[in-house]
Amino acid sequence: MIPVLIMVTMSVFFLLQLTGDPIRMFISTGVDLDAEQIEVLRHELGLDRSLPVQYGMWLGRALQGDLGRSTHTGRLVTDELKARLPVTFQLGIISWIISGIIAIPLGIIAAVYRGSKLDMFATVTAISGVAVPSFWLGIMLILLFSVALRWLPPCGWVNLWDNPIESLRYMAMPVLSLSLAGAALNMRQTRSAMLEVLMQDYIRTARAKGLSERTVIWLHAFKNACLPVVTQMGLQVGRLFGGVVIIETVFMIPGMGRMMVTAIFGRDFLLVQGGVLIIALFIVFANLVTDLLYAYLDPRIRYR
Amino acid sequence: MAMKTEVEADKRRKIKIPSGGTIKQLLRMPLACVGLVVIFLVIICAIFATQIAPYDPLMQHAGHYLESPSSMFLLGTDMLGRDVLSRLIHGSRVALLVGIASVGIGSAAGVLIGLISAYFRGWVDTVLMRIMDALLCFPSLVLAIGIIAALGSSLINVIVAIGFGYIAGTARIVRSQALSVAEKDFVTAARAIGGMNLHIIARHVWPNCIAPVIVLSTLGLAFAILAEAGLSFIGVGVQPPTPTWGNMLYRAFGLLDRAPLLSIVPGVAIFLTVLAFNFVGDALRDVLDPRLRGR
Repeated sequence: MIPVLIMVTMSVFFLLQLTGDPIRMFISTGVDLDAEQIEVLRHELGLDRSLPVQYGMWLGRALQGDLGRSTHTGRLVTDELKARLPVTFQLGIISWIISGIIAIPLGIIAAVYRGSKLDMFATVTAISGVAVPSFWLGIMLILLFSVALRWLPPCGWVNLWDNPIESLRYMAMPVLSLSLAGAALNMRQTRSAMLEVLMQDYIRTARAKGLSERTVIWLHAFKNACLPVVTQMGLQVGRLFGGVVIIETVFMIPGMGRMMVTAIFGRDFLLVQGGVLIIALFIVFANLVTDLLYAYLDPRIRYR
Repeated sequence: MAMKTEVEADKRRKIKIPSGGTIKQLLRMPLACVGLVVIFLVIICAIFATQIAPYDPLMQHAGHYLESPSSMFLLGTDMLGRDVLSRLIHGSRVALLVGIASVGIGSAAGVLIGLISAYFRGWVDTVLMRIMDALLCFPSLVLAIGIIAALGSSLINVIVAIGFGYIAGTARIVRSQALSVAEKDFVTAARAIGGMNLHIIARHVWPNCIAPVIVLSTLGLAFAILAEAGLSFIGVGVQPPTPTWGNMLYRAFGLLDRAPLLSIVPGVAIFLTVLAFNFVGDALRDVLDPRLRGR
């Protein structure tokens, strides 16, 4: 955990080194400095020190919530992030939940009724769901629901707390486009895990001793098929946050992803760096939760 | 961490080396055949783009703006009067190039790291794997955006950015596979007769790790094509005027209500290509390495 955190922060710090001369990333757009002023600034920022020292200084500042200032707006990167984070998280987490809620029951049903029409449908959806670019799905949804049917607003954002119903109308299409690919993967994983478990002897035993089919499937089979599904759901978190970045651009959602994209065009590097850092930290956290869940679900891991 | 269970599962894994029989088995699977045909067509399009495309993809036909499909322009024209079909055909070049190059770079680095890690163990392994664990915490698109923000966007940078996100996954799979191979008697034998490390890795360990790498690369290609399209769509990928499926969608998006076809066509191309690679990748996995299922 700790080594991973150190490596993650190092990688993010290293991104700045990739830019060539980092000093340029600290000078606001439109401000002209002569060579001497640049040297002073370089010294103030510690950019004339060795890399390990610089990393230490950067980490120290980051821990105090100072990731530098946006060269565009002059505001603190952390303030910019604070404003955008809730939007991205709301979008990402709701999509994550939806992708699980749709997929897991479908996967179970597909496995139980293997070879049925429903299984066929589920499998085809699962295979094609992974291949559809999420942003294109978003565009197609806009075409259908906003341009042709005029049911939903094509873009924009309302916070869930401000006006839940309006908010859901704005969120419906982004969430659907984000969750399809995840749902497809979750479903495949659930189905194949369930199939494997359903072939086990103890399932036959459970059935033979007269337990209801529902008990057999949920208590005996699904509980044991859970582990790979949890792994898959954990992996989804990262995948979702990659997708969010692009989906926010499609639907003009004022989240972190769109902020990072606009920042690229404005050469506002520190904003991008901040966004990358926050997303990576969140995923470290999600992985930790996954591992803990693992131990909870599978006592064998706990006692090792 | 979850890795322990994976390693144990991997030890039970049967090791297969891809051979001519693999292709025969693939050809018996209908979905794999469909996938192979589509991939073949895309490759033909990419190689012979200039010969196949009816027009120059950059040529602006004055007076033919946003036309619907006709016998002259089979898929219509875009806002600058360029032939959509020709742009689509040329777009396959960037898709395949970025896909193959990024997966190639990513796999090469991943394989190297995985092999070194597994063979030398100890602190080398620990350090390398911690770095890989950290890399896995960056969603590849987010990492790509970070790298492009730092390096600027160009074809090479897009390839590097996408390939980078692909290293960690490969490294971990190769490592776990190589770990189980390194314990086999033939490796011990090779060591006993005084084989050099490099020789043992290259001749004995690596050939037994090829199967999962092939499977992973095929599925990775599908992902890389999606990633490139996504990056081009948000405008940080391969820059216009080079036609790519992603930047065609980017330009068409603003005209969604007037010319929906412009937004539909490139998406279908991406979808079919990615689907084809997934079909083949899934089939390869079933043939070569059933244990990878679900990854």
